[in-house]
Amino acid sequence: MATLKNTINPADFDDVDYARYPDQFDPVEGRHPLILGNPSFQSVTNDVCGPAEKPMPFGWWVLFGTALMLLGLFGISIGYLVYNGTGVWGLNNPVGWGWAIVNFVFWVGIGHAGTLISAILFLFRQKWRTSINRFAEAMTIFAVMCALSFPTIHVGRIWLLQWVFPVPNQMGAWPNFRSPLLWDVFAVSIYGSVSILFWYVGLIPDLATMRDRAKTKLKQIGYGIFALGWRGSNRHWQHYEVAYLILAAISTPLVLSVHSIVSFDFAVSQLPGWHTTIFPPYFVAGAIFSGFAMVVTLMVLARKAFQLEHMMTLKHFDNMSKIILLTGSMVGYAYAMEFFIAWYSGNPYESFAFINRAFGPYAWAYWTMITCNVVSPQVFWFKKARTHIPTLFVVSIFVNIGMWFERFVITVTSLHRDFLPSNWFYYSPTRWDVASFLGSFGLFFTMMCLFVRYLPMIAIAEVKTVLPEANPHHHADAEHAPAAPSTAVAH
Amino acid sequence: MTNETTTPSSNTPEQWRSLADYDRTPLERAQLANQRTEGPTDLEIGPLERRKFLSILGATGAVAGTLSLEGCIRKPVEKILPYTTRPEDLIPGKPRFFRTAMNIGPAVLGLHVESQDGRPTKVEGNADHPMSLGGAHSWAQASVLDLYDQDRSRTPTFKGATATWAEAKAAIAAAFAPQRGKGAGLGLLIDARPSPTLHRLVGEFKKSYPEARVFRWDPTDGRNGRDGLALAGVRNGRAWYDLEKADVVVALDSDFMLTDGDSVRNARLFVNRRRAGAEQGAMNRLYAVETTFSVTGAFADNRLRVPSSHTGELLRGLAAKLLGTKAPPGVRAAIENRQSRGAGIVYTDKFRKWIDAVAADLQAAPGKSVIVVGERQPAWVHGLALLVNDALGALGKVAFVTPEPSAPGIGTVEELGKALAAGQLQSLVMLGGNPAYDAPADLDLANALKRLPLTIHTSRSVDETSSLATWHLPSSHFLEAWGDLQASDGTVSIQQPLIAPLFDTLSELEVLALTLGLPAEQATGHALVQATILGGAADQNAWRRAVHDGQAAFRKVKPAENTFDWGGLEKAMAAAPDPTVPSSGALDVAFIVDASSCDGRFANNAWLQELPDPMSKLTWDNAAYLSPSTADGLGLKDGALVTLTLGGRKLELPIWRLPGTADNVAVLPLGYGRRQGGHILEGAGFDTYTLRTTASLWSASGASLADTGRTYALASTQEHGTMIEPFTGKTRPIVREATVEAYRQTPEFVEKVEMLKEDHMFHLWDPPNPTDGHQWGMSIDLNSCTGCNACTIACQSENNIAVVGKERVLNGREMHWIRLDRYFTGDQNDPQAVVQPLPCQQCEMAPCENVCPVGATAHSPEGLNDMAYNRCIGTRYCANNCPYKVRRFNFFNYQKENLTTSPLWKMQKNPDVTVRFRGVVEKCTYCVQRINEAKIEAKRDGHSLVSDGKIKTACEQTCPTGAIVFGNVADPASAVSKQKAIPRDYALLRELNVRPRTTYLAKLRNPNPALV
Repeated sequence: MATLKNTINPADFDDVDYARYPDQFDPVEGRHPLILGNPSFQSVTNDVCGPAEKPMPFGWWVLFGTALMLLGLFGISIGYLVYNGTGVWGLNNPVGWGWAIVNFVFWVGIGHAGTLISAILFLFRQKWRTSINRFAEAMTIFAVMCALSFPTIHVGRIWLLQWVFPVPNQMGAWPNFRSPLLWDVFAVSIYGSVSILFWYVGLIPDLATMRDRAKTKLKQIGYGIFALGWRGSNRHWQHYEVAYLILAAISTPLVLSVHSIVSFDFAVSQLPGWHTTIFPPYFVAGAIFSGFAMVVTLMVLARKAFQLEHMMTLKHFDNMSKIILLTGSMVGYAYAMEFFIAWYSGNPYESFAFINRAFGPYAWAYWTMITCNVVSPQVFWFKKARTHIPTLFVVSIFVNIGMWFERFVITVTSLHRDFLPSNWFYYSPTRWDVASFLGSFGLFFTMMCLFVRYLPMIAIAEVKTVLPEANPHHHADAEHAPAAPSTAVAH
Repeated sequence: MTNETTTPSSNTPEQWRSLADYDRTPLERAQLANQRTEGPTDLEIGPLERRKFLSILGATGAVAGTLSLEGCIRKPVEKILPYTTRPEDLIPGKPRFFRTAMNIGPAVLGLHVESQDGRPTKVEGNADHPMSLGGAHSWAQASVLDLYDQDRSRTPTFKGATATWAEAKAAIAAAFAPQRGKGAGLGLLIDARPSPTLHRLVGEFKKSYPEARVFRWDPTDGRNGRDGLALAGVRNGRAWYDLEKADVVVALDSDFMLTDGDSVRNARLFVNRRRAGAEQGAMNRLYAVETTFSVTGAFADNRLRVPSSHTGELLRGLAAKLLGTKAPPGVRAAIENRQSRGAGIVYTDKFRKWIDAVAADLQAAPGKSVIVVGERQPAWVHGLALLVNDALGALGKVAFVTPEPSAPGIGTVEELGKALAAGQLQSLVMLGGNPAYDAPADLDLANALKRLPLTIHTSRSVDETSSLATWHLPSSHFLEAWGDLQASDGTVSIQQPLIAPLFDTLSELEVLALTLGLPAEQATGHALVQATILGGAADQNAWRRAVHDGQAAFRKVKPAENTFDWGGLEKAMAAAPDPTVPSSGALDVAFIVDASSCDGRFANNAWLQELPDPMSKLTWDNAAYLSPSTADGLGLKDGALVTLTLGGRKLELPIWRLPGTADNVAVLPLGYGRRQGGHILEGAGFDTYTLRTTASLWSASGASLADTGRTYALASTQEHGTMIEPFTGKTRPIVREATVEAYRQTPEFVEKVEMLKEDHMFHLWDPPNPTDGHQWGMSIDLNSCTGCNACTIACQSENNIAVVGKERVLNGREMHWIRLDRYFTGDQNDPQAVVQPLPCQQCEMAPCENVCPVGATAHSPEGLNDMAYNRCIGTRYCANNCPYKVRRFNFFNYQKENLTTSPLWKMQKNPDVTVRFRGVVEKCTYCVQRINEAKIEAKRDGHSLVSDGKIKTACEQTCPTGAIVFGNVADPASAVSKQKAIPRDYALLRELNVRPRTTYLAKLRNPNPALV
């Protein structure tokens, strides 16, 4: 125990090799500790709340300023679009969906990691998730915001968008419940609202901490309102944990459903290259893949900027890299299977669609996708790569690029050459396509910056539970909660 | 400060700058498109102006603030006033129909025009007129847009300044009255309209001013045909055909189905004969010998691509075989002499084989075979064809010659050029036409006209000639004026005005009457035409009957008696130049009348500018067509800007590879590159007239091409012209065709290429397939479709379809509801071509319907795939899911743009069809407005069903060959059901199981086995 320090120099944790510290085990779990440096409860609170209380570092201002400018660009590009019409984008007759839909699927995909980490890993009792779930959930919400903005601005008559909602009206006109786009409306908005709820419920104890530490009246009131009067009583914790568990249970199927339904936009159509039964699992795997990559990208930056290396440790990166490798391989398998089925089905349109993807006018996009999504994660077979920050960062960026291109390849290459060669046409984006895509990053990073500025980016209460001295006592764990129902499962 | 306000550059008032900008827009757009470079660019919107930028910021705020604006849109206040005295028969909201006629050069087309509350809106063919037989070409369909051309002149101008008609009339009187009885130095230039009244007045003009000179120029004039007949001793004759009676037709450089002469009649009759032999008996056979693909060539059973100068040699070869000793001795010598001289270079094996096969075929059908020669061939070819047709027994059975109206002593444009150069003319009246633009370049009329003290030009807008003339007199559109036209078969049509002139204009006839100094009551168009038609008799009943029918049956001119004198032909043949074989260093040049712009007269017609060329699929431009091997040999790609040099004249224009063009020939469509006359023609194409001289009116040799290294963006609506997939080499069974022989052996050949057999197609549930009441369906006979584009414009005119402009076509956003897909089959350089009209297929299991999130497109119980524009929010999912890609999206507010630049177009709009707003998907509706009108009528008359043939969709109605049949497929006796019962019937992409209601009849060809 004496070897564990209470004072932390975060820079020490960038090249931790657990093998070097054979004697450093969590005395309760008998495993390597999840939080390094043996911090006290107090120091965890200080470390997490600190960034939100101190002035932001210079880098934050640079990022925030850039993000705000891009957000402005987003606003202008939307204004320009609404003022002039969808034609400011590069869409044409065969290619009715372009960058906007690509961006939509891209952002929805990114929005998968948070809930997966929060809900599924929670249900599977993956304790390592505690350091990153808050951050990943926030990312999810902001990604879903970006995602939702695209189908919204994508329609030709944005001022009539409310017609997609089943609002009773004097005309008796209802939306068409057979349309996958309508399913999308429900799937993504439910996912967005549940994610926000889940994230917010998880935030309550920490908001109370922020409230209690706040030195100004404004902050006290602000955090106080959102802390909902949390006092940390046993009763509060009891209710909180039940609510959290229920929300986790609700969120878990959503993680799988939302991208399955997004994939239906394509799979339910009859277009070669879209009409594929493999899409739901393939899209979910791709979504997790891209979501984790985005979490890695952002975490690399955040832990460095806010000196949280001891909480977002290499162990986390190691685990996430494994998930990236797994989902990346699933995606790679799906690419191969699509080709196999295109041939095996004997459907000449399908075969052509795939040959055209790989060798047609958009071959460059296809091979970019393969390189980024299938080839680049293969380095994660090696532990060195999984725990090497620069490699992680580069590969995560590659995966982000690759997954954007995956959606581009699916959307555009299938449309640009379909059944009748007379319709074939090349699609290229305009500067306004590019502007709205960059602009969506502005929205995303603005929200991200504000998040790290005002909210604890790590779940303080949860992290404390994985400290050795806390030895988590989850309410459903039978041996520690004799009052729990008899159906509770021991671990 | 003072300085600043006076210089226009800095602080010009905002309004003026905007107006100027708005005037310049089309040109700027074209330039914008040409400056396009790689990478993301904003294709369609010019540089941001401050105001626009601010309003965008405003819109941004509006979006942020509120998403729903529909409640706040203010509707315009309109006042509706009843008639005090209602005109007879006029029921507001109910269209009325009037008959009239139009001409393209000497070719006349009888028309049946719809008028909505006094506005002519839609042109149809006059079913009783022998030149129309119910069909109309795209020029006729589009002519109504010319009426509402924003750029039409409002007043006369004198030296460019606005003037009044009183001043103009005074100037004419001052110039002509003193010359009465003399006329030296007076000149009159007319166009080629075959108007009896015009020629009667020209005759009177010659009487009043005996020393005055009259000339005729019109690029579409049938000069070679007329001169060819003259070689046989027939003066002012015009050949015409009854192709329904012909079993074998040889088209020598003749696009008789589209751009050459009486195309609507010729196509209809030819196809009637073809249809009669398609299922049983023998089909007719069409040979086409031509320089570049025309729709006639695409339709042909056997096609030979040769340079223009070789066509005559082919005819000479045929003549040698067919005439033998029957030829007049002199002609016979000319035939044989040339055959020996021309051998070697022209007479390749293929050429000889063709001569043998075609001659045998022609001979086998005496009295039922005919040679049709195109206007592009020199007079002697026309003359020799007349001789051969006579020998074949075609004259009087298939081919006829009828005198055309002609005042004596009309000179040619060459004579006009000489007279001007010699200073023999002091003043010149030009009735219509645009000689400063389209006259042969070597005459340099533009400069010669400038030197004349007095030039008077009538035209609808200030064009190239008007701007040079001292007086520009605005002329009436044919839908605003009285006139008469004599068709080639002698039928005399009456042109009646459907509307009073929109502006203060006079017709050409009325202007000519002014020069004659007729009393006012005799100088009205009505009086002039009536005087000609009635010839002084006052039979008002006959007159009213003629106006009602659109033709004066009692004035019909009979075909001429066939007495020929071949002396002229003998001389002409002896004098004909030797054919040349072009090479890549000395190219041949061939000029063609453009299928859209014609000779340039329709250059300011946006519908026609945006209409894809039937073969090259180019819009808004012309280009030099080269065969792929010629272009490859010169290292040129599509759109490469080249400098074409012909006889010292240079023209910079882009090239376009058009399969089927003869090697080493540059084909130059006329009618583009106009400089004045409207805002639509600005920047559209290249002026090929600058290369065209009196010596090379239709073809020339010895041209050279030099690559400039630059490229020009050409907007084509079809990138892929083949049904063969790249990479896999598989052919998709899209347009199905077989030879008649194969069809007779295997009547179910269309079934053989199906990807899925009928019993392999399953449904998850019983398809909703009502079979009672009205079930609308369509059948398109690919064996009848020539690909002439008339349906596209008819649809555009009927259904208020917007024009989008060149860069949007470049961006794949054209709006046509029915398009013509053209595919080449076979060898890249010498392929065959097929066309397929593609409207909405109205699928029974429509993939578009279930994907719309708001249910804006739904199925009607009658099998229509309905579109509720009001409900559409524009997700474009339906368009993505349409396997035929026939849905069109309003990417911008095209209609508003159209009406901003051309406000008059709103008068053309069909009140029965919704004008679509920005952000809405639109598509073919099977002309649902016509269906509903007929249903209402049927209900009123107490019928539960509409009788067959009562409803004609716009495309069906105009189709010159009757390829499209629409009707009730639930009624087995309907025409459409009968056509669908033919074994050639197939559904496009049947394997998708969408069950389209539009099906196709496979194409048949009847090639000569000896030439396969």
